[in-house]
Amino acid sequence: MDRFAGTARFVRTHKLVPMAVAFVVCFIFAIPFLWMILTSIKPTSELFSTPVRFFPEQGVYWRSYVEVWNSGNFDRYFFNSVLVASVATFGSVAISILAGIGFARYKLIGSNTLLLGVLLSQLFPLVLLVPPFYTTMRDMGILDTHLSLIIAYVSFALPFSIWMLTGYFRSIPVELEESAMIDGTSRLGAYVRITLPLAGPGIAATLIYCFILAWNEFLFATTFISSPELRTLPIGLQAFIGQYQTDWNLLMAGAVVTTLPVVVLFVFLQRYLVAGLTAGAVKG
Amino acid sequence: MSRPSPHSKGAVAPEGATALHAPPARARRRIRADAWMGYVLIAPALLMLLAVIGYPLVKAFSMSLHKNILIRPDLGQPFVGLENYRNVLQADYFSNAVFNTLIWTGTNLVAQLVLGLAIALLLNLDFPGRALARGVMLVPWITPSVVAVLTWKWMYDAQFGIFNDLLVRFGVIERGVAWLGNTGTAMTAIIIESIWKGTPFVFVMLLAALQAVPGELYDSAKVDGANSFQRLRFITLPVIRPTMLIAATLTTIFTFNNFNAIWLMTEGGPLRATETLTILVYKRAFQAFDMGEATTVGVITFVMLLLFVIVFGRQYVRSQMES
Repeated sequence: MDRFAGTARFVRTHKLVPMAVAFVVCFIFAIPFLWMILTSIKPTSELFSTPVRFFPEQGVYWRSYVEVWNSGNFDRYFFNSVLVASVATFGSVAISILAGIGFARYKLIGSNTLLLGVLLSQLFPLVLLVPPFYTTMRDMGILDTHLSLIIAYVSFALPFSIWMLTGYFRSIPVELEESAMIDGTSRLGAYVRITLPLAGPGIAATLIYCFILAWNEFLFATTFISSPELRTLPIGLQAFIGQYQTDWNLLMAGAVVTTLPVVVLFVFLQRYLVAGLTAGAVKG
Repeated sequence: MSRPSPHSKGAVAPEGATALHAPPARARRRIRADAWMGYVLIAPALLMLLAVIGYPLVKAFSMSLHKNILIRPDLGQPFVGLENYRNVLQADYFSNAVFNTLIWTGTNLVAQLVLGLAIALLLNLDFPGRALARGVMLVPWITPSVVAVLTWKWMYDAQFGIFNDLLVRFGVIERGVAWLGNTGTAMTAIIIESIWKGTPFVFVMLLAALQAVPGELYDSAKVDGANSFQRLRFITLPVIRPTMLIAATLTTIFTFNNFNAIWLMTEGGPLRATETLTILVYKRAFQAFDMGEATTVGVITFVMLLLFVIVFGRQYVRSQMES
């Protein structure tokens, strides 16, 4: 009996230590995120006080959200971001599906070299592309338009999307298509009716990947877009940094608004995403 | 995470895989017969990549051989050979940027790998609330980078920032420090943000690798009397080594190319103290308006990174090619 209790205690404490350490580590990593939310629900007067007050003292202050949405023009930025990210995602995924089937289902000369090139193209410094992009877009007269961003995002998302989808299509047995063809459908019909539905999770992961990439992008957006009404969320946030004083509660409310869609998408699709994304492309 | 995907470590080969590698004769013939269809399918992707990545790359290289001052279109864009390269390589700001880049990348790499491994080992243990802890660890990774950087900028605020406040409360410092405003502390401050943002990625990769370590290895090691440190040293680390190499390669590349963190916190300042090569390209282009020198720095950066990928990226390429 005694020995039993001892074992139980041992197991419990044995688990208690990693649990406690994990709690501390997770808390430290969560602090910035918590601080963003806490800042967004405090009035300005409570922000600029020393020592710092951790929690809002007069209840949750929602006005920052209303203000940032209306007078901070975040309704506009949000719409712009949704527009740019959606169109870019649609374009990128459509092109990647075609290419993925092409690479997975046909023996093409040099396809391995091509795939390797596709893979390596996402490893070089993106900033190197900014000057040539800028001058080309200027010469084409599409600087300061959403089109310039959409073109850029479609192609930045392509390499990894093609990789992800080629892998998914390869994992679907080609016999399934063949038996559908014996039953009388065409090659393309077999792709549309058999392969695409089976690759659903892969396509979902690719969609989210492209969307988040476009949603978060800052470097090209800040370079190409100069009109305030065309800003996407990341540059809208940056524009909040004032010369003399910054309304941090409004900025953080905007930050929450920017983060929310990404978190929601991620929570719903995390199991599809994590495995795919760690394979190589995304790191903030 | 448990779902096998084409890329996850230790994914079971789908039943179709063998059939794919050795298609029946009839299928093989048909596949060859309409190969043109394959080319049609990949054509849009290739054209797009060529136009939007290939062409600008070539153009960047050509721009680095020309004089091109954005605000002086009257000067034209005369060919100047390697003059830009000579100017850049001799400039103080270039060696400064190389130095900063090495510090920036090196510190981030070591810290993220060590922390990422430690956290992966921790969250691979069995304890209540483990799933939640794993979820929380992903938060920095999925936070949009601009949001993350601006939040940290606010936390670093010299007067009202929580970073100073906590340090003062715990008696580490006496008075608030302008972390981003001092040449001595700015780099460290940005590196801390970057470690926070980047470690979860390393953690996720290593956790996946840890989960794929066969349990029997530990069992037999226990039978042989290996203690937990020996099991870590002689079983765990060797098995996850390939993944660690890949994580290291990717972390290096991503950190090297990081623009947002530095630009949004300090724009490379104060006094170029945080100016890396990436920031330098941007500043040469859009503050000095010298497109020739900007692309020159860019091309040099590109070559450096390319050498790195050739030397260290093989493991990554191999793992991707296999899947």
